[in-house]
Amino acid sequence: METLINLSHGMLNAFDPLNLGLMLVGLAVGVIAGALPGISFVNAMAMALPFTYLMSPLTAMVFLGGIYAGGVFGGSISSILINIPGTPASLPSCWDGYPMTKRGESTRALTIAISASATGGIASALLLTFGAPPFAKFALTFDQPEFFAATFLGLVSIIAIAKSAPIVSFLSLFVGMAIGSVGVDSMYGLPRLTFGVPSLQNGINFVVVMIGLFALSEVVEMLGKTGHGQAVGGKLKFKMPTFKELWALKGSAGRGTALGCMIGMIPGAGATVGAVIAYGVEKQVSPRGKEFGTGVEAGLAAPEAAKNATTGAAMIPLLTLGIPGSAATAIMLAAMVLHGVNPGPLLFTTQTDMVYTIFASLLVANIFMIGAGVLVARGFSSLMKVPPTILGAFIVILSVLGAYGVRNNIFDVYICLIFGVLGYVMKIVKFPTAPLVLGVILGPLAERYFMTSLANYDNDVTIFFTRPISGSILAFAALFVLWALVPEIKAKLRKAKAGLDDPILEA
Amino acid sequence: MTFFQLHKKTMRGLIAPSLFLIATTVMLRFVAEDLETASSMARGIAGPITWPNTMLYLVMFCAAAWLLTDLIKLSLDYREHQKFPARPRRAAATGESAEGGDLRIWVGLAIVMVYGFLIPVLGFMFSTLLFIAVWMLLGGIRRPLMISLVSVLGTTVLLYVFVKLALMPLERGLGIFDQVTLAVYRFLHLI
Repeated sequence: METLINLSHGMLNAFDPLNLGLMLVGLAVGVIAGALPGISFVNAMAMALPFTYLMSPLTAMVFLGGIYAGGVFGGSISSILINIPGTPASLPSCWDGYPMTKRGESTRALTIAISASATGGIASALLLTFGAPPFAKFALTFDQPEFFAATFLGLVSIIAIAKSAPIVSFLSLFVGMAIGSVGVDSMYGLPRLTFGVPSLQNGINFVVVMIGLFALSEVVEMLGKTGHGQAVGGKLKFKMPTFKELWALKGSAGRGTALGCMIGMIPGAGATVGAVIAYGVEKQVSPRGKEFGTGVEAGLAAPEAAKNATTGAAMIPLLTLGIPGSAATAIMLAAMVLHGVNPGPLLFTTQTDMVYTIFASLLVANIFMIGAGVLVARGFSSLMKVPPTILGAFIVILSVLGAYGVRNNIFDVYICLIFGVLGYVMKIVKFPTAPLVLGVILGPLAERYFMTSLANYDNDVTIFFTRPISGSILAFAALFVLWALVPEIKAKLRKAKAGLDDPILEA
Repeated sequence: MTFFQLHKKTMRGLIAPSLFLIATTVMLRFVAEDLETASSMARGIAGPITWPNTMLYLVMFCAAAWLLTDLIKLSLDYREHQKFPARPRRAAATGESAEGGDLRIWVGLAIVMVYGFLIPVLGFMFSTLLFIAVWMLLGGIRRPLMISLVSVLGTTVLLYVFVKLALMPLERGLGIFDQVTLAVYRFLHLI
C-alpha cells in the first residue's frame, strides 16, 4: 500500500508540466540519437549532462530517464529500416526486422517493435517499482564469475541463431572475439595483436565493425541490385498490424520481457546480452523458429521487448546499491552525484519522493515512447521512398560519420571501410556476419570478467562451476546448446537412415 | 574428369575462405611480436595473451574443421558424379553460387574506400560533395541539376547536424581545403 501511495506521489511529480515537457524532449532526443548510427543515445545522455546543472535533481533524472528509454528503442528504427543497428542492442532487430522492410512491411515491423519495446519497458518499470529491494539483494550476490557466466550464455546463444551451420557460426564468433581482443589488455596494460600500429592500441570498436559489416556491404549490394528509380523494399505497403496480430505476439513479448528483466539486473550484462539471448530462446521456442531471419514477427518482438525490459531492471542495482550496470546508468549515477544525491539503500528512506518519481517517469516515458517512436519512425519510413542510389549515398556518409564519431578518429573510418569490403566478401562466400559482430561486442566483456575472476580467486578455474549461480548459468548454457543441437542432429541422422540425404553433405 | 577439374569453381567458394582464415590466424599467432612480449608477463595460468591466443587457436581449429567438412562434401560429390554423371551436383549448389558480384558493386566499394581515404586530405565537406555526385552518376542518375542539388543540400544538412548540433570535429582537410572549409563554416554560421 505504501508503495502505491509513493508511486502516486511520483506520478504527480512526473506529470508536473516542466518535468513532463523535459521528459518528452528527452524521449525525442533519445529516439533520434538512437536511430542515427554513430550518435548513440549514451553520447546524447553525456551531452545532455551539463544541461542538468540548470535543473533540480528530480527534473534532471526525469529528463535523462526520457533519453534512456527513448534511446534504447530508437536504435531499432535504423536496424529495421536500413539494416544499421543504431545501438549494439538493436543488432537482433536487423535479423528479422530488415527482411520485413525488404518485403515492403516497414510500418508493420516498426509498429511491432514499438509495441514490444513499450511492453518490455513498462513491465520493467513496474518491476523496478515493486521489486527493487529484494532483487537488489539478489544482484548483490553476483560477482565476476557470474558476470562471466552471463556473458558466456549470451555468446553460446549464437548456436540457436545459426544451428544449421554450427562450425561456421562458431568460427565467425571466434573471429569476432579475436578482433575484440586487439589492443591494450585492461589488466596488464600490454598491447596485443597491434603490430606496432599506435591507433590499434585502443582496440577495434564494435560500432565500427558493425557499421562496416552491415551498412556498407548492404549499400553496395543495393547499388548492384536495384535501378535508381526503385524504392528499397519494392512498393511500400503501409500496413499496420491489427490489435489481434499484436496480441498474438504476447508470448514472444512476454518471454523477451522476462529475460530482459532478469538480465538487466545483472550489472554489465545489459541490453545487448538480453536482446541476443531473447532472440535465441525465441527461435527455439517459436513454432516458426526455422524461418527466423526471414522476417518473422516473433523474432522481432522478443529481442525488442527484452532490450527495453533491461532499462528499468538496470536501474535496480543503480538505485539500491549505487552500481551502474551500463554506460547509460553510469551517466545517471554521475547526474545524481553532481546533484549531491548518493544512490544506495538509504536513498529509499531519505529521498523517497525522488526514487518514486524516477519509477513513475520511467513508466510514463515508456507509454509516451509509443508516440515519440511512431513520429520518428514515420519520418524515417519516408526515407524508403527515396531512390536507393541517393539513399545509399547518405547511408555511406552516415556510416562514415558514425565510425568517425566513435572516437573522433579517422583510423576508425579506415577500419570501418575495410570491414565494409570484408562484409561484402563474407556475403559472397556465405560466411555469417552476425556471430562475428556478437563476438566483437561480447568478447572483450567475457575476457575482462574471465581475467578478473581468475585474479580475484587465485587463478582457480573451477570457480566458474563451483559458485552456485555461476555454475547454474553455465549449466543452463550447456543445456541451451543441447536443446538447440539435439533436434538438428536427430533430424540429420533420421534423414541419413532413410537414405534421403547425406548428413555430411548437409553439415 | 579429375577431382580438381570438376571442382575448379567450387573450390574457390568453399575452400578458399577456410584456407585464408587458417593462414591468417597462423600468421597472426606467430608473426605478432607483441604476443611474444606479452607472454612473458603471464602470472599464474592466465596472462595478457591467454585470451587472444585461445581465440586464435579456436579460429584455426574451426577453420580446419570447416575445411575438412567441405573437402568431405566435395569428395562425396565427386564420387557421386563418377557414378551418376547426369545427376545435378549438390556441393555445386553451395560452392559455385558463391561467385563474385556485379562489377558495379566492386566499383561502388572502391569509391567508398576512396571517399574514406580522401576525407583527411580534402576534408569532410569537399569529399562528401564529390562522393555524392560520383555515387549518383554510378547509380545511373544523370540529371546535373538533381546531382548538384542533392550533393550541396545534403552536405549542408549533414554539416548542420554534425558540426553545429552534435559538435563533432569533422576533418577539414589540408591547406587550401582547410581554409575554404573554414570560410564556408563561417558563412553558414556553423562556428
